Amino acid sequence: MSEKTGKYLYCFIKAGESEDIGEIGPGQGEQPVYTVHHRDMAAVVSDSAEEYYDPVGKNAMCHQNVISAVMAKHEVVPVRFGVICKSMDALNKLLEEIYPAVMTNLERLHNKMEVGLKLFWTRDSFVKEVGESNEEVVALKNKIVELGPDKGYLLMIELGERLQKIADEKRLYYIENIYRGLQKEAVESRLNDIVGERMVLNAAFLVDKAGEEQFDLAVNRFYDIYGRTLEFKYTGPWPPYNFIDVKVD
Amino acid sequence: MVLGKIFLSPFKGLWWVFEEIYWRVDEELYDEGKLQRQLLELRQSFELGDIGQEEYELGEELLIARLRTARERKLEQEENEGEVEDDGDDSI
Repeated sequence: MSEKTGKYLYCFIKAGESEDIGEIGPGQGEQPVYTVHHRDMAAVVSDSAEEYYDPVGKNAMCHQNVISAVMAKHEVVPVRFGVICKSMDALNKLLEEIYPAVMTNLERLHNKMEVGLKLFWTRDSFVKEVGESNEEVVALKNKIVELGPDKGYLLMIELGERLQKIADEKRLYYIENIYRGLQKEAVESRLNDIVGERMVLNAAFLVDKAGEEQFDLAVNRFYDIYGRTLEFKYTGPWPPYNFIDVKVD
Repeated sequence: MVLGKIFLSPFKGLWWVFEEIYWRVDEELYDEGKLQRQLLELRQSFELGDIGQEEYELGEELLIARLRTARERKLEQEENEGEVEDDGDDSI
């Protein structure tokens, strides 16, 4: 794709008239971002000479910045990073195909926002709650140190398995106490995969915009209880990636 | 039966084992899903302060290079499969 015939997709919105979002698209130089329409729906796109963008911080940030700019004026159905239609014809065909699904999702997500909550053990609390959580684990660690890495190899595997089990049990405790508590304040919620050993919880919540403050207060209540042992990463509002069922590949 | 073949022909058997190991390692290294996940873990480690800027950038560069290779291989494979299908159509 040497010419700019490709259309990089950011999101879909409900809009009747064409809009220029700004020159904030990815690639060399800042590409104009604009809308392509089908009935009362539009795709937010920029022209692209590339077939592929590396998922590096700079490109991902650009994708997110465009969606954030659109979100300031519209409710959106976001498209994941890196989706490019090969031509305007292909984009028009896609718009026709997914129109019903996008409109249904926009209706369902009206006046709602996604927030994310990631919880991590601090380094100290990870050691305390998992790494040195009981006498057997500590004894096993000491035995490995005594034997050295070669002779203690099998014990190291055993230790790894035990620590994994302990961490999973603790995570379940926090899911029951924090996630279930916040779930009551949200319209929908979703538990995502754990990334890395120190992560305790990885959750997304769909919240009524009118209930945003109430949800913030609920998160703060849990922070007051668990903030000494867990790092809270509470973020949003995000485009509702976790709560749409429109798949564009 | 694979075990039998290994014992009957030690040289070929070893070659098979090494080949298996090679492909497993290769698949592991160039699995797009795993690479994306590793990229996510790397970013997270950086944001939590577990690794520094330099280590993050080096790690990112390595994983991005592997992702490009994985993607090229996937495209090649799709092209080859397309060619095989075309051949099939011609023969009908």
